[in-house]
Amino acid sequence: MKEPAVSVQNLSVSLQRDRRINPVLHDLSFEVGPGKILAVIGQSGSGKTTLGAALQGLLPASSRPKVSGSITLGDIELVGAKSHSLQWVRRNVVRSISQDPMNALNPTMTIRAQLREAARCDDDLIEDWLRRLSFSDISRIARAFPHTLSGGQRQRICIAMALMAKPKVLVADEPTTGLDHTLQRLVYDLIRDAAVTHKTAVIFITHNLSAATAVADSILVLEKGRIVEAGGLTTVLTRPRHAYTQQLVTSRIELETGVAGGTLPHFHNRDRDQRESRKSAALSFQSVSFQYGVTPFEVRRRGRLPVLQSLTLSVAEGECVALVGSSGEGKSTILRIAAGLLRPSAGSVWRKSDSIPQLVFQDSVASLTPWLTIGEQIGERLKSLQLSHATYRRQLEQALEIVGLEHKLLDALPSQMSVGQCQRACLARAIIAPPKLLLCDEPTSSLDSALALDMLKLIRELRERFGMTVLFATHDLAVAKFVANRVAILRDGQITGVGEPERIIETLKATRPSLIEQRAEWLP
Amino acid sequence: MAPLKVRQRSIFRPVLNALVNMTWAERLGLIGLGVVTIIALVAHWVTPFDPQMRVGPAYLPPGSLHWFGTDEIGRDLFSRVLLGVQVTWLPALGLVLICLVAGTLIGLIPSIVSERLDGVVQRIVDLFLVLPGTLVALAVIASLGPGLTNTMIAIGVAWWPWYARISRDEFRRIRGLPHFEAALLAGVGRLRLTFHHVLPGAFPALIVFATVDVGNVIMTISLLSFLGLGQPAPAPELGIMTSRALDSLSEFWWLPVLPATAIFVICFLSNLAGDGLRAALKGK
Amino acid sequence: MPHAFIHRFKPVITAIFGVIAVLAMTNFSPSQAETLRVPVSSDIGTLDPDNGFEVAGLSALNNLYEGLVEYEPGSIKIVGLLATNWDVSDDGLIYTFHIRDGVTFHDGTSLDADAVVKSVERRRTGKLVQNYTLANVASVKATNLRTVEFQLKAPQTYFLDTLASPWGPKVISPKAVSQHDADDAATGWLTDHAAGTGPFKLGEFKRGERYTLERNDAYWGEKPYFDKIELPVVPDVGQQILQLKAGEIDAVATNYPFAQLDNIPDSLTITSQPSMTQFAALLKPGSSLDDPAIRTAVLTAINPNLWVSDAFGAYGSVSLSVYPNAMMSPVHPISFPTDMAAAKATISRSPTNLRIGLYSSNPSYGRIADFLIVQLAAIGIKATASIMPPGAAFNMKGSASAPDMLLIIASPDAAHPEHQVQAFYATNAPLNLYGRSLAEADSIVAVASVMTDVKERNKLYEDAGRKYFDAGFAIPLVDVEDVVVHSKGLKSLGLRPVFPRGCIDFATVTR
Repeated sequence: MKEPAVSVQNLSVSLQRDRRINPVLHDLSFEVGPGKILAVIGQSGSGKTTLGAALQGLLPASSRPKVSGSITLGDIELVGAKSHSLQWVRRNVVRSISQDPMNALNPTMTIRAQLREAARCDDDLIEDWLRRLSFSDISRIARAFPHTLSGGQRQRICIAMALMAKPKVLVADEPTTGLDHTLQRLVYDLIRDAAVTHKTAVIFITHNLSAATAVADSILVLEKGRIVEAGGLTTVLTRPRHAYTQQLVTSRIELETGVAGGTLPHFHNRDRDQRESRKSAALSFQSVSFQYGVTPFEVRRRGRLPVLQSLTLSVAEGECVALVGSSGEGKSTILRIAAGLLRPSAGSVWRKSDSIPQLVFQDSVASLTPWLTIGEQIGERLKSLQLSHATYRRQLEQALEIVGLEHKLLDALPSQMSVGQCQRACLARAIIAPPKLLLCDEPTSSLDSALALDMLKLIRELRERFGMTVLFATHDLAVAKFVANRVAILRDGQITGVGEPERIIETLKATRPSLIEQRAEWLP
Repeated sequence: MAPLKVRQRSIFRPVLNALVNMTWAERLGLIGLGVVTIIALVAHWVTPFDPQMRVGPAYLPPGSLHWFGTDEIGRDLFSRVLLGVQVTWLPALGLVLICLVAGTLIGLIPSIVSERLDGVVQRIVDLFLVLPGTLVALAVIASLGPGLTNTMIAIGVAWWPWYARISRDEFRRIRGLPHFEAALLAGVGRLRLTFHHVLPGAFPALIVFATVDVGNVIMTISLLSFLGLGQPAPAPELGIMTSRALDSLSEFWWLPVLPATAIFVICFLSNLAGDGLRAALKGK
Repeated sequence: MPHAFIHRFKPVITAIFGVIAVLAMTNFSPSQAETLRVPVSSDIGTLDPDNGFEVAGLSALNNLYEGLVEYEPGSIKIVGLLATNWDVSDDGLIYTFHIRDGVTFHDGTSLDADAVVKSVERRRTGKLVQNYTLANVASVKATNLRTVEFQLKAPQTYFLDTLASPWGPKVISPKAVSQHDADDAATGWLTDHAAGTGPFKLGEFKRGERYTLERNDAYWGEKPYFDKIELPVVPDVGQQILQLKAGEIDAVATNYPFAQLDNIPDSLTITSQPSMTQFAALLKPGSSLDDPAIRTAVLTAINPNLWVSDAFGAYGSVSLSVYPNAMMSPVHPISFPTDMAAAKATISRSPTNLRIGLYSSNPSYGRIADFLIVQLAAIGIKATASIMPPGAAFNMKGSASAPDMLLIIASPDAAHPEHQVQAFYATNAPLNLYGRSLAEADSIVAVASVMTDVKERNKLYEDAGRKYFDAGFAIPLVDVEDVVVHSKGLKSLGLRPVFPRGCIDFATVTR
């Protein structure tokens, strides 16, 4: 029998938070052979990320991890290993693709320098990899610093960094968050390719069942730190035994079809009716252009690359418009202009309400101030209301309830919460004092399908309850169709089509099948 | 129901976190600096001999009575080094702290008052930065006269802009981060934005710079003393003790080596503490 | 292709080989040239004899240029140099010098009486900084080709000392001066060029790096032993010592730490000789030292007998008067009181703090100040010392922030007591830095300055000096010898008491 590349035996991990020890992983045992891909699926907070960190010997020292059991990579035991040998392992055996690309990149180094450092290779190979990751202007990207790239672009760079090193073990934690479907499939291909060519054992952590199906040989489902289901891909998908797995499978289907039992169709219809009767716009863009780098010098150096070109878009009051586009097309830029965080280079933006719109950021962890508690940050929006202490506290708790978070998280720091929890906290901050205009930037990209569906339902419900206007950026047409009255397709910094979701999808089938075609794949 | 702690959290949390989650090297740096500070504070009372008097023959090598030997006029070198830690370390520490606070606040002025001030503040800071620090210090002392206070004022005038520069750069950096934008959209006021959402993020860079900077300040104080602009003799300033005894290195090695070792230990400890804090604060 | 390559780069290759050949020749050609290497601690400001108060370059200057007379090495006896002999008129107003024959300047022109007159006039009438030295000269003229006559305004018994001073008037080639006069009396050109008659010619003048002198083979007198003198700039004496021990230089001319003189390596030796370097403390009028009781207490404490050998070993001696011991032996030397108990009592009655200023960063000042501070602490006076910023010592007159005492080397520019008084103690003397004035003593000096009987004259000078001392002008502390540490075998260093310490005469020194 072949030696497994990764072998985990009776692994239990507990982390400390607020001086309380929380067990995170319970008695996990599994193996991954060389060249095999194991998908680890679980809800946010199920311990997937902790597992990924443990496999790299990267459990945060600040949470005083208690680890029992055994993790062996090849013949190296990680549990109880010294930090310098862990460092050696991270350099030579295991690589990771992080969930949080901004932190994985060094802000002071160009992309080229970082890639060169990561893989100790020459520029040709770097350019080859950038090409393989479907970057078009390779030389500009190679020269760029991380902060000038979009979230999706950064994510792809991280993937390149990890794969170029040809590691024996690859831990990919939500590697395709923030990428559109074309790129997602590209990444799946690259990972599979690495597994086959370099015999890399891959631990693919995701909340997304369809991602798992696209890439994995076998699946392991985590719930509350325990393995609830494990087995080959088809077995688990066709005969899910555990309730959670079954729920995952069905909710994905539900999102696909837009059939979401109960009251949802009702919302749907009413929204559309309302839109017909409404004329006044809540937000409108008139010939808005935007480009980074204002000085002539910067323009010359980076090449003249406008992010937005003469974009015109209007969102009616109470309406929800979904902006759909691939990674790097300028979705986030539009939202930031709408929020007033960026000033357009040309054209005008008009907002009806003078209250500040709220923006739910794509990178929810980064959009929370790391050293302030969730409660403080959510409460900041209530400061101007001068509430009594009790009311203030009640409002906070209500906001958390609305987004489905426990009250005790009010005192938690962002670093102590999972990505999904951060996402919800951000939403809670946005809606605790309901804004007239809510801007959402891929709010579901890091959530598993069950949570994503909850989140979308929540946004729709809140929109209804508070009469909010919503501009919703996503790369996922299914999500757009589910949440929005109208869909605007963004391409090359321009709106290439606006209309009702169904009609847009019909049109796209002809012109941009790439945005559509993965729909069939989602279904088992 | 648990008592509400939501608003009582300190903005110094990153620092506290770092102190709690330390490795031995980082602790060594901080504890060492603490010990040095205590020695500096009590040096008056613990010197075995009067550091200003002849207590033995000149040029006595280190021994059991005079641990560090005696200097060229028969003063006890150990007592002088102890007192030297006081007259060297305390001004350096004070100066760095003052510059840290003043420079940080000045660097944050655009954030506190109005971003339109950024250009103005930056030009003023640049103006001070391009002036050669030692020359500014010389000019200030020339107009104020020598002495410890004036030396500190003189160095401070040349020193704060570095801190202003860092805090301003950190402010600019943090202003580009999503959490700052989120707080902006949450309607947080300027003061709270600055002191709750920006300043704690700028702490790591500032503190690390300050701890590394202590060595520079000690050296500058020594330089000014050597030029006759610092504390007058017989203050046992470590830098001046070292540089004046340098020509005795081959014959009476302890005269320059032991005070220099004291400087080295102080700088080493502060660098250790700085590196430790940097690792602790950035590693998160 | 290789051929084409060689052809194309032929000039380059030729040049490379040429350079290699030249280097090889310079390396392997046997060198018989004798070179003396003596470091200077700071840069030479100017080699213009009339336009500076050079210290670092003084040896070089006095080997490039010559005056009419000079002090004999090792003494204060004045002998002829460019003047073979001289006559003084009975009224002391006319000095006639007979100029040496057969002397040529470095630029080839020959020396005559007219050249002497032109050089003297350059110093006397120009705006150059040394012009005050000849203020008493009414006129100077050449009575024939080889005779120069000075007419003085008033009798000046120390006129020959003025001429023999290390900073005294030198004879510069008139041709060079007129050639390079850019409306500045050629001061610009003469800063880093020389056109004198001395035994050495200026080789290199590389500021901050080194200066070299080359033997003047057309010299009229005895040719120097050394072909070449190198004066590298080595500011740090510690570095000088290391270089000396490594054999990279031949001497540390001054500032070798006294404590290390007992223990120098076998390859080195010491030449020492009395000098007029007197360390003295000038006292500020209006300070607590005006009080005679406190001054007595301070004198008791800082009594140099208590520390001179600790500080200077065998090379220092307690000053006997406000004149350097090498200039004059007083009949009644200053004595320091010794009753420490009384001194303590005085200070306990009237607590006193003292601020000591150090004239420069010369390490000797710091060492002496350390001793003074420790000694003063012993009677309860809290004293501090700080180095005066450059030039600050000249702004102390009437300044409240001036230190209570200034430690300075009170050395005259010539070996006559008049020079000492006129430099440091007379009213309006240039180095009377606190601006003190004592008419009673000044008038005694006025009488002494025209006397020709040396013994009587010295008695008056001693009397005046005592009065300055009693009035609290200054406390003379120690006279320190000229100490040169050099490689064994160097002889006849030609040290002269009037010169600042470490002025080796490159013309007399041999190996």
